[in-house]
Amino acid sequence: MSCDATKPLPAPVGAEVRRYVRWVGSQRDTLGTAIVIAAVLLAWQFFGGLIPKYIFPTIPTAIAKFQDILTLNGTYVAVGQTLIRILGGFAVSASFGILFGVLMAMSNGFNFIARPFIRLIMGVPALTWVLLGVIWFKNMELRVWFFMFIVTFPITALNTYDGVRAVPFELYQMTKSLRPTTAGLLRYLIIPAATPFIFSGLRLSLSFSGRIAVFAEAIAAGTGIGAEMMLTNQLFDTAGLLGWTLILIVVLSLMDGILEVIERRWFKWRREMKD
Amino acid sequence: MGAVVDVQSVRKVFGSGLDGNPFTAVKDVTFTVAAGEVVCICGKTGCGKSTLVNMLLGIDPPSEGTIRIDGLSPSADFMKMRGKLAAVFQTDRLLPWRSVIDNAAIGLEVAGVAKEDRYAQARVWLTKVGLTGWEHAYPHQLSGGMRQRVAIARAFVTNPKVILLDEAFGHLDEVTAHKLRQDCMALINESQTAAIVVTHNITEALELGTRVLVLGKPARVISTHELVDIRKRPDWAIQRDRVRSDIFRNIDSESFG
Repeated sequence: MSCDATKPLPAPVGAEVRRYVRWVGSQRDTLGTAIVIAAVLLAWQFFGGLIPKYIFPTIPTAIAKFQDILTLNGTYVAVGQTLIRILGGFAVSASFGILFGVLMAMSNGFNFIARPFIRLIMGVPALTWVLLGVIWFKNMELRVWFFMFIVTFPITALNTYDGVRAVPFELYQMTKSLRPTTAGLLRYLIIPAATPFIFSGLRLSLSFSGRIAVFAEAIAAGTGIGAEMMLTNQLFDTAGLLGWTLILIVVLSLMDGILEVIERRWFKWRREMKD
Repeated sequence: MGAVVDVQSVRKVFGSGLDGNPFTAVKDVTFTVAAGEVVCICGKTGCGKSTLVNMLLGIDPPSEGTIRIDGLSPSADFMKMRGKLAAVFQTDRLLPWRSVIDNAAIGLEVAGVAKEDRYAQARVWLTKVGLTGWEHAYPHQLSGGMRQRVAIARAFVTNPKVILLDEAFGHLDEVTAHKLRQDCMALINESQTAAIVVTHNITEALELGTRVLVLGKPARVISTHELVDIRKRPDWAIQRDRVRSDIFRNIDSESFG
C-alpha cells in the first residue's frame, strides 16, 4: 500500500459546516429581527390589498412617502428637536432617578417618604400629567421635559433601588472589612453591583422617553416628530404617519443600539448564560 | 511578646431571637493572639463563630467586653483600623466586575495608594500565591482554588497586623484545600502576622494552629489546647489524635444539635 506524503491532509469532516452553524448562531439577534421584519412586511402586503389605501397604504406607497419625508429639510429639524428632547429629558430623569433610588435603598427614613411618593406618581394616569404640564408650564420644552421626567424617573429609581438592595451581603461584609468611607462603599461596591439593574432601568426608561416625548410633542408642543405625526393624522395621511413612525423607530433603535454596545463593553466581566 | 489581639469577656446579645426574646450569640469569650501566633477557633455550626468574626471585623460592636487589635477597637476606631486587619472568607468574595489585579489591590485602593504602587504590590502578592500571568483575568475565568488565592493575596497586600481566616478553605476539595492551607501558612509565617483561623474542621485546626480554642454554645471558650510544644514531640501523631479526641468530646458534650 503506497502513501503520498506530499498530499495535503483533508480538512476534518464537517469542520466547515460546524463553523457555519456557529456563525449562524452568533447572528441569532440579526436573524430574529430580519424574520420579524419580513413577517410584518408580508402581513402588510396581504392586508394592504384588502383595505382602502387611505386607511392602510401599500408598501410601495409607504416607501415613496418615507422617501418624500426624508427629502424635506424640516424632517431633520423635527428629528433633531425630538432627539434633543429625548436625550435631555432622559439625562435629567436618569441622574435624578439613580440618586433617588440609591438614597431610598440606603436610608430607611428617606425610603419611608419616597416609596409612597413614587407609588403616587405612578398611580396618576399619563394623560393627567400631560394636561397638568400644559396648565403648569407655558414653555413648550418644559412641558415635554416635565412629562418625560415624571413618567420615566420612577422606573430608574425603582430599578436602582432594587439593584442596591440586591447587593450580596457577603460582598458588603468583605468591602466593609476594608473600611471604606460611605462614598468609597458606593464607588467600590454598591454602584458597580447595582449597575446591571440600573442599566436595565435606563434602557426601559430610554424606550419610554422616546415614546413619551413624541406623545407630549403631539399634545403639548408644536414641533418635533410627534407634532409632525399629529399633522399627518389631521390630514388623514396614513402613509405619512407610517413614514414618521418608521423614522422614530430608526431613531429609538439607534439609541437603544448605542446603549446595548455600552452595556456589552461595560459588562464584559459578566458570564453570560448560554443555552 | 505583647498581644496584637486582645479579646476580653466579650458578649453579644441580639435584640430578639426567633422566639422574640433577647438572644445571646456570644456569652463570654476571652483570648489573646501574639504576632506570628495562629489561634484556631473551633466549634459546631451555629455556635456563634460568625458573630465573633463580625465583632472582630468591627461590623458588629460587642454588647459587653472589649476587643483590641493593635490597641484599637475594631468598631469604635473603625476607620483608624484600615489596613491593620484583613480577612479571608469561606467564599472568595471577589468583586466580579474587577480583574484579578484590581481585586487584589482593592485594600490599597481604599487606603488611597497610587495606582502604580498598588499594582506593583499586588503583583508581588499575586506572584507569591502563584497567579503570575492571571492579573487581567476576571474572577469567572478562574477556578475556585485560584479565586481563593486571589482572596489571600487581597488580604496580605496591605501587610495587616492580623489576618482572619473564616472557614477560608471550607468549600474547596481536600487536595486543593491542603495545598492552599500550606501556602497560606507559609505566608503567615513569613510575614509574622497574628492569625485567627475560624473553622469547624478539627483536623484543619490541628494542622494550622499554635493554639486551638473550642467554643460551646452560646459562644464561650470551653477548652484551650496549646500545640506548639507537643507538635515538636516525636509522638506528635499520637498526641494529635489525643487532642482531636479531646476536642471532639468537648464539642460533643455541648447539648445542641
